[in-house]
Amino acid sequence: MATPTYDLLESVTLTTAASSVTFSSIDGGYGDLVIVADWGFGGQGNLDIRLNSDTSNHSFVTMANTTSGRASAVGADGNYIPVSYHAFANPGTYPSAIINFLDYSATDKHKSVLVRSGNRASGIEAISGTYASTSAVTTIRLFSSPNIIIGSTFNLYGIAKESA
Amino acid sequence: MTLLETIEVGSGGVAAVEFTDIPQDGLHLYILLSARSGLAQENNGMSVEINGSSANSNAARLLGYNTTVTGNVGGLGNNISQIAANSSNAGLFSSTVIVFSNYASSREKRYSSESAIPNSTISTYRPLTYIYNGVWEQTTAITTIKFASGTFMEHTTASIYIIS
Repeated sequence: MATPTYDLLESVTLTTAASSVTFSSIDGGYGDLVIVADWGFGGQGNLDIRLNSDTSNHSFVTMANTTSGRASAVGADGNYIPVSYHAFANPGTYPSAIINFLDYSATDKHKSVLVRSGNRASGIEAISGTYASTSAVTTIRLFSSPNIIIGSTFNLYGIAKESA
Repeated sequence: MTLLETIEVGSGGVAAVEFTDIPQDGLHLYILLSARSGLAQENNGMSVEINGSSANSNAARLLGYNTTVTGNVGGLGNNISQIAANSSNAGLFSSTVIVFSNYASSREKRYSSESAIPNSTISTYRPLTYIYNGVWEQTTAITTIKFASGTFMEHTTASIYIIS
């Protein structure tokens, strides 16, 4: 039976509070990327993604269940894809997310990003994002306001699509 | 990504599916579950016990079944998912993916699940799609995970992987 490949490319645990975490010079030799993220905020906020430092070409659609009920939203041609949009996090609510970047290194298609995120207090969210560029993704920046707190972890994995 | 164990339920079913003595040298746990319960309806759900405890979990979920979309923020106890019930079509099993991130850390443990119950016989609670995001508010490392949903029927399978 084939052995699943799930290679850890980079692991970040914040030792000081920061407004962003950046994975750069990402190895283009994998099929997909996955980020597993557990974080916290110093205040109420949302976490966002920007690819290749591009300030346009990011779009998304989200569906959520929050303390305010079910919600959805669309964002087009902006400078981010949200990790959370409706299900914002407050301090002590333990937000987490799993983020998939499909065919991130392809140069013949736009990129798809799938996010599942949530926290115990405000809700859960599924987001589908598009990066409308045929450039390979080499940089992923996760950013927020307020700061991301000490102890937050972000693990970047590469998943091989072809057997060795 | 390393396969630790696969459980295959035999004739007569079992009351619970349990992974014990989980090694502590990984970052995340990834569980794949193909399951069918002996319960009459899907909305009875599937529970999780972590380190023998059914307490200290807080979560949010979003689910769609038949023509209904609904969800909860809090109030879920240790209910982590919904799986195919015994009233489903013969031979039908639900698919569930569960991730426990940073399971061996000394922080509160985040976990998430996604489930799907396709079915050609539509009922009140199926077909179903389900996403869940939770936290187990304990700082002890996870060594045991147990799932229960009435009786797990024969041919249910559960595999646990470590992602390092």
